[in-house]
Amino acid sequence: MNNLLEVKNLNTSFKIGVGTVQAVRGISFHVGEGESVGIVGESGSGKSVTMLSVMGLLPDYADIRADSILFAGREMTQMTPKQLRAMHGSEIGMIFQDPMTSLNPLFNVENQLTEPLRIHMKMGKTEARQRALELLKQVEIPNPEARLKQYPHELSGGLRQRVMIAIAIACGPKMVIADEPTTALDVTIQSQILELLEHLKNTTKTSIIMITHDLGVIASMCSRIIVMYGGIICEEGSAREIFYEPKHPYTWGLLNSIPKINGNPDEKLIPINGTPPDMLMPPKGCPFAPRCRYCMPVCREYMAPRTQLGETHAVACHLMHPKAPKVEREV
Amino acid sequence: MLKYIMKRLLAGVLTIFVLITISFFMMHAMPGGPFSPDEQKNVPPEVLERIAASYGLDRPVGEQYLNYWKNLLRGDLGISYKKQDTSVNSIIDIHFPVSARVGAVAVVVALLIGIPMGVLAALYRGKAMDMAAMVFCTIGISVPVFIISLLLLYLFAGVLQWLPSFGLTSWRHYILPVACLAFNPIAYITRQTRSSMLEALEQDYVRTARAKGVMELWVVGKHALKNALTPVITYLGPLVAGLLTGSFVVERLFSVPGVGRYFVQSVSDRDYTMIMGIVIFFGIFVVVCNLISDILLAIVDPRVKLNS
Ligand SMILES: Nc1ncnc2c1ncn2[C@@H]1O[C@H](COP(=O)(O)OP(=O)(O)OP(=O)(O)O)[C@@H](O)[C@H]1O
Ligand SMILES: [Mg+2]
Repeated sequence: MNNLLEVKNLNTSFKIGVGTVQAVRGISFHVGEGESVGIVGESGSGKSVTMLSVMGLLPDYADIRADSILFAGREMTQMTPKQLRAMHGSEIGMIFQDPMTSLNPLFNVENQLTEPLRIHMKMGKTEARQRALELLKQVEIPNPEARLKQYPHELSGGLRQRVMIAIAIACGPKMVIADEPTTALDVTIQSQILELLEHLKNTTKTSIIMITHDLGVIASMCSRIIVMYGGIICEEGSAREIFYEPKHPYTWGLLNSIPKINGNPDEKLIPINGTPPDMLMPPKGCPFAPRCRYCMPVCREYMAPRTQLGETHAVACHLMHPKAPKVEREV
Repeated sequence: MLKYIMKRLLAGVLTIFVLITISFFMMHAMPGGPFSPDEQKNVPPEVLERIAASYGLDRPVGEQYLNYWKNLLRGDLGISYKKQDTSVNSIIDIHFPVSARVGAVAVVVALLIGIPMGVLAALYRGKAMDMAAMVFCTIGISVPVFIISLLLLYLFAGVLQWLPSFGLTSWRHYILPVACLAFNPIAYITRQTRSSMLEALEQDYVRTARAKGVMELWVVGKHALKNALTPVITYLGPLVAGLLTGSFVVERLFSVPGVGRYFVQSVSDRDYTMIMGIVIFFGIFVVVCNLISDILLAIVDPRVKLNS
């Protein structure tokens, strides 16, 4: 499998009044062609900032540094705004968290859905309209003709998110980035949207990056999972590795906080105690150390090096050191 | 949409009815007047009585009120108390278009300067351009129009002698009165556009537009601006109503024969029919302007229809 996206040593910070928020601190990852990758982590761990940095969609005061961001063999860090814009919405589609606010309230569905078609594929009005109807059918919106003329406030949250998905896939992108696409939706709608995304993934061979703070959401969909915390990647591996052989205490915490697949419904869920680090003054050691119950003195002083455990599995934790105590995940 | 308009229309009619009734009875509750014997010492009382009777003032108030309505519904606002050969209608016919012309130019100028200035201030937030615009806005909003007018008059017509100081005979005559009238609205529109633009640019749908690859010019000019303009549209009704009905200060200062001057003059003359007539005319005008801007808003913002 060839790499579609390859990010090397990405650092993103925001200069704000009181200091610098170090939102992303040196992360590297890749996404293969047609592969679906999940990025999980608590709120504030830097998931959105990572993807927005890759897209070049952060505000001016963001300082984005990367050794390299390759997309389909092209170096994105060297691109002009115009070249980047030509990729946005055509080669890379994005779906955002809150469908209530992600659509412009003053333009109807047709206008917003045909916009990328008119911009990137230079379609005329009737042709774009025809394609928009097909797209609405593809995202399983009933009665598409009527929907085209409707405004966002006339649609339910689930329908709006379907429209967002239709916009993201309008130009047949190579990759779709979905940033918590189901967080703002009802549970029943959530599973429908996930099914739809999975269906699209299987039929269109598009790479998908699924950002979420809920491991359960990506269990069935993503072949590979990246676990982020405090602006760094603490563990990554295939879905099987993350779910069945997790090595990082933070990953254990995440797994204990979701209901088990086929598990006992009365089973107690264990939340992770404590709060995420303040990215204005990130700890110099492992960001998870203050909340980690296996924390050693070294954890507070030094970032853990990345330990490659297998072809896909890697973890950044001092417990991997040969002389570290052997600890077991408590379930 | 139709229901929304009907509702607004009904509210407007009700407002005007209340306005007419209140101003009618207030005029009549006022002690004294142009035909009261205490004030006109050198006119014989019989003559005053006859004049009063010719205006129907000897009738009971209730009857006068009904008569006023009867005439009003035919579009007749009555005869001036002061100039007994002049009807209120003719004053409005002659002088309102003058005020309206100057006012309309001022409205267009205010929008053409205020909106782009507000947008630029928002886009260059914190930069010199923004600072300058904000200083201008503070002055424009806090300094009263008569001071601005005097300053401009003194500078451009007095010291520099670039522009004429009175009358309305050429386009150059319009410059100073229009500038004075538009000064405050420009400041208001700039400030409003700037703040709503800043808000709009932060919205998720702007990020969505960028993620679609929309050109920055369209992100700002289409997605953000349309949202940022809704408060300006709401302000449009009062703005048009305020400027087209003329300003006493500006019309007086630049000798513009507009209706604003007549209005204030009729108050000092205690020309009650004139006051009533102009108040009613202005009232209807304000209601119509607001109705139009409400409709405009409903066209621009589809959500309006729901929550009204
Ligand atoms: N525009 C910004 N200006 C300043 N700080 C920002 C900005 N955007 C994000 N941050 C900071 O960067 C850090 C990472 O934020 P990010 O949005 O990537 O988190 P996330 O993992 O996506 O969380 P969530 O699940 O809440 O979406 C946070 O500490 C956040 O406060
Ligand atoms: Mg996020």
